[in-house]
Amino acid sequence: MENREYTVTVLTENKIGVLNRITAIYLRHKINMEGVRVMATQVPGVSMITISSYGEEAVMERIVKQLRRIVEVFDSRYKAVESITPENIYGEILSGLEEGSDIR
Amino acid sequence: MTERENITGAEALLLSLLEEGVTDLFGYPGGAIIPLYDKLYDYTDRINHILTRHEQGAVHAAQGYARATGRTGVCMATSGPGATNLITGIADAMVDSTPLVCITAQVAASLLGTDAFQEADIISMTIPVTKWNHQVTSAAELPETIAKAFYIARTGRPGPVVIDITKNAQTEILDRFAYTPCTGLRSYCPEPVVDDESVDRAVELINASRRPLMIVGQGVELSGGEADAIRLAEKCAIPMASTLMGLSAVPTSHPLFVGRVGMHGNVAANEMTQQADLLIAAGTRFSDRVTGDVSHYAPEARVIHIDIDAAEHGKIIKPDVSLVCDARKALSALADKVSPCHERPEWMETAQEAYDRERRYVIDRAVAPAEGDITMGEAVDKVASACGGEAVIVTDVGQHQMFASRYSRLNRTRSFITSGGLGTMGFGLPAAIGAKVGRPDRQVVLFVGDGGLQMTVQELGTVMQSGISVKIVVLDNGYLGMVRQWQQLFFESRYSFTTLADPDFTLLASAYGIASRRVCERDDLEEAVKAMLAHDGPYLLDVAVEREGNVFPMVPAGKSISSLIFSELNDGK
Repeated sequence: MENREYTVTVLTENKIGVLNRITAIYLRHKINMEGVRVMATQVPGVSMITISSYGEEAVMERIVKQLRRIVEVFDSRYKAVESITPENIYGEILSGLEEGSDIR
Repeated sequence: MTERENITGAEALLLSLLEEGVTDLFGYPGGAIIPLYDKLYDYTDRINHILTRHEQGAVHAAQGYARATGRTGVCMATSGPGATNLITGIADAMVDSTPLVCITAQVAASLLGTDAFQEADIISMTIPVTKWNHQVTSAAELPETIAKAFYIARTGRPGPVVIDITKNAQTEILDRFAYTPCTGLRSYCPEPVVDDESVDRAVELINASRRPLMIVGQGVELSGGEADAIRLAEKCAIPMASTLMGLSAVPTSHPLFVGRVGMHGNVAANEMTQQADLLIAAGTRFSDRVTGDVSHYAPEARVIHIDIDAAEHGKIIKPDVSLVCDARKALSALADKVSPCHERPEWMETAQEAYDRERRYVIDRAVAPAEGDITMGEAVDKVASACGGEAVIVTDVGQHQMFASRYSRLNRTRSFITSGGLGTMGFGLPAAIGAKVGRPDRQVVLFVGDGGLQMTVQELGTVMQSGISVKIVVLDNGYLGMVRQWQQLFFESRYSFTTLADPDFTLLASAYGIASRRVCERDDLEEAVKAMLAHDGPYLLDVAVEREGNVFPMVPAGKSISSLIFSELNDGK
């Protein structure tokens, strides 16, 4: 199974310690969290956490199921990064700079 | 429902425990928890507190209590080392799904993060091994937090919860105490509803199957689904096998019971798994001890997986039908809807034939050897006969645990208490203490090795002080037996640090005022076991067993369960 880039979104109660529980699950599966964003949602007391990482689908599925087990987590989904997104483009620019190509 | 005004946080905590129906708790005091213990001093007529000798003893006792009674076990410890000493038991409860509420004290809120005396970040430390944890820094938060703790510990897939209470939260005054039990949390869905469509698909599979096998896991016991499992099995002539953690959910004497699956399980259960066309796995998580090499597990079978935890579905094997719900409700729905089936004599003949083979090659020499030293299997069998299937059997971890799981007779549910997923040596003695406190009406017999006993031997002090009538059978071979067996079979008998120089256990028991006896001769065994059981009070029976005895059959680690080996010669007959 190949490694792809995945985005995981988690809807949680806005409480101390929830992010710790989430990162502990990534640590346990030896998946690095490349990007993490936490923000408030329109629902009072509910936050949304977005995590991007590389991994195999089977592992992502397991991680998401274990995230849903966390008491303060409402729900969690994972999605393979398919289309061009600002993150992808930034990545291309960065690797281009490393290779020494001319980008203006 | 109690209402009070102007009470301390400590008193609010005790009143909350009483509101939750707590009658017994296990603990050990210390600096940060003195305010709570001071209030407890006025409550000893309402709550039974058992003082252990180590906090690990307290948490394992709470586990044994929970397993024997089905209630939530409660333990408490002070801050710092008191709290960290609980971690092994908390991890054990997490893996084995035991409902526990562990109360730890903490330094005053103003000192948090300053490396104060006996300050330990127990919340961070227990994140991976708890269902939920929370630090309480004010008295006002206490009642609601305790309510949440009990609700989370016992609902859905049960598990341990840690509540860390700062010293000031114990001493602060709470203006008004009024307790409301927790009945739900908006983000927590502990019990998904039974999905009718999936039930119907499962029913179809069951009706069509020719060689079905039910695997009964601990979830059947946790959900109280024993009777429904048996009803389904009897209606449809489905043989029942048990995992280690599910042992005793179904009486071992039931005609459809074909034994235990797994690494040191019975031949019939393992071979039938490999030949079955349908597995009904109820309340089990397909531990690697059960499956062996997953790619060769149950090659002919469709699988119906019943488990309340959605994360277990598809984790190890991909089921054909997933019933993500309470095991009792699923089994009841299935039992209602399946078509009754006549007996399956050929399929059951497989079990009988396998059992006869197991008797010939393994069981007879394990429980009834003609000569030589007493074997572990023999000692377990003598206790099984004498108890008539009515006792609660508790074990520690190792070869003796495997022998006890194979040869005990269990007629009643919640009668086999062992550390399965974590395999914690030292679990046995304190767990037996907790089981006896929970079920004083039942005979509680502990099987423990000379190694495991010494891991938590200080709890003999708890037995002495609290007068707990546990019957301790030490299967004593002077080795760390299970490791030595692996060294013999797979490491050319290089017994690296597995030889134990043991004390005289009867002298040790006497030092604790506990009656005891050492038995070395086969002829004395039966009578010694009877004397132990008849004795009024705790008893330690030290049985000198065959030093290099091995437990068979065995599925070598990572191998398919088709490669059961029956003896040291590595043969599978």
